[in-house]
Amino acid sequence: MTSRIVRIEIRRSAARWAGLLSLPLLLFAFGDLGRGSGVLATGHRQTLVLFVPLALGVGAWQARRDRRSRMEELLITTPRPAWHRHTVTAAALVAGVVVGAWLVYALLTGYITAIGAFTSFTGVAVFGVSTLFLVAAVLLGLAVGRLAPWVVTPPLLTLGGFVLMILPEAVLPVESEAHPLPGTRLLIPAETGGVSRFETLTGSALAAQATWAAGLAVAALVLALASGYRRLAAAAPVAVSLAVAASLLPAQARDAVVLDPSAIAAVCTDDAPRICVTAVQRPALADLRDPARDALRILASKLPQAPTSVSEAVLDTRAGQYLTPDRATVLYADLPTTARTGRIAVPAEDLLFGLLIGAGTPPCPFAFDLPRAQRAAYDTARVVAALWLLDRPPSSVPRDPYWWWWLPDDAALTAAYDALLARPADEQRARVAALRAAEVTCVAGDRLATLLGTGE
Amino acid sequence: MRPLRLYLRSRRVPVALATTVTTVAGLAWLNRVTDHTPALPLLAVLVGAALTGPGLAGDDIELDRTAAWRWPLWRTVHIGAAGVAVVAVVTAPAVVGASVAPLGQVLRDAVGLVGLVALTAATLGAQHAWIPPVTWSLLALTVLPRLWPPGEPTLSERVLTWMVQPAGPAPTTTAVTLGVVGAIAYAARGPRR
Repeated sequence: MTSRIVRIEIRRSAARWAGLLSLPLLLFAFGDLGRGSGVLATGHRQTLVLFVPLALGVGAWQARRDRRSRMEELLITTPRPAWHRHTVTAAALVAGVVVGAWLVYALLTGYITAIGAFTSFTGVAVFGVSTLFLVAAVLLGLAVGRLAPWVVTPPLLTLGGFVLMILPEAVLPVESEAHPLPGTRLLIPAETGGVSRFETLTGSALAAQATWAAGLAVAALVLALASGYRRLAAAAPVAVSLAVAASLLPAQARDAVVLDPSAIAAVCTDDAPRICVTAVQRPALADLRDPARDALRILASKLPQAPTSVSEAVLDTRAGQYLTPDRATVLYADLPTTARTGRIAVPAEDLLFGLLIGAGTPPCPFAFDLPRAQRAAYDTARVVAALWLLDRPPSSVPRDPYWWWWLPDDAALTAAYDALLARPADEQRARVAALRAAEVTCVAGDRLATLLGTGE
Repeated sequence: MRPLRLYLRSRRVPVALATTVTTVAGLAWLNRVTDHTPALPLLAVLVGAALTGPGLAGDDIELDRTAAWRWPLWRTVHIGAAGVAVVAVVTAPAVVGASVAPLGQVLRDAVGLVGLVALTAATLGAQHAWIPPVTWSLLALTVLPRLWPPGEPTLSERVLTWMVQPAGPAPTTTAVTLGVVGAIAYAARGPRR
């Protein structure tokens, strides 16, 4: 009997609209699906900025149904308690939200599988917590709509919810070295703690968020169903879940983020020399293989100490080093990939050029703190080394503004390149080898001076 | 004056106006303390436009229609006055030095969004009038721009996300089209029964 009533309610309430709530995720995620299902889950979390206000609006809209159809007085006369009816409505809305969200998730996961990109179960937990926040939002909308059954409530609640969702970003300080974000920041529904495609939230952080979302949902349910002073009981789940969540969260938000082992698992070529990418970037391996082997061959033929394998450059910011940390024998490949398909986005020759920048080394950590002019000189030295290895003139550097925006200008490159070529052939080789050696050990120093021999 | 007063009261205009003024004042204050959050000016106009919606129909549409009034004229004046009121309320904080947005932008957003509210009232009913402008604007503020690659917006992007675009012919044309079509549809057909 009850299930039949719920089924009817699903058909005749705003549950259908609640089910469509997560549909705009298609717009958000379509560009990013080549980067795997972790990005899908965190993308949904960030898009709660949109989904939570819409869920509030749907809930408030549904709550006004009795008054809209001028049924309130009639329904008061029925012997059945009001919360019986309201429970069914709430159940229908929750079912709509949950089923709709997971249908969209399943659809997009299907697409990710179809293009051969990375799928994992770690995203499921993140998405599950997002769904809980959506459930809490739609129930909260229902509660507010019931407490204030006015015609202006749904639009005001939707817009007010949106303001509340964008407000933390505008008001709270941004993360910096001196001011790390507090862990409690993760209580904001749309906050992901800066999770990259290689990372996920720790189990305890997810548990804290789930507790907080569940507490909100229960409180909203109490507000929506109870009447009179019993509504005050809604404060209890909020307080309890807040206390539990705060105790589960780490002191700093960055400690709630960990590398996702399934995402950074190496996917390698079977034959030597080994070319490896992370599982997230698996679609890029086919495009990377040949340019990467060309790069290894060029380095081996032109320099005394060359790397022997290629690995994707994934910087573990907490450890301060690259995964597979061996700058001397590993060539780290920064992969310019198309977000939609996960394939390499630049022509093979540009990718080869990118691999040889810095004579096959990633930039050293100290370079990120250099002043602008010194950073430009540092980049010039590294790019000229790549040009020398490729025997290409400075005019051949790619000028694609999306991937190569940071390249130094032609004048600086030409000057340094001509200065290097003015040296005897043996010295040119020694200079580039010296640059590579310095970049491998990351000793501080002026790399342009090392390359051109002007510093000594 | 008496018919006008009764008309305004029957359409709950005083409540809508008071709510709009309070909310916009709150948003203007937020805009000041948060150092100009980009979305707030649009949200202020959106509040005004959304709260215009319920007033576009009376309590009993059938009964209204039996009145020997020149309804198209009343509706035209109503929707025009609503647009003017939205612009006035949203630009009013400038008087006390807390300007929310440039007049041109408020004007464009108000024309487009109030027009969309009127169009929805004529096609789907006044109760639903707030839904398309609010949903469309929130989408445009969040996920809609991701349909297009980053960089210089294309014509289709300028049209489909007109309310968040900088001033230009394409967004303005879209807003004016919505405004004119909405006003004409509502004036001619009235709220959907």
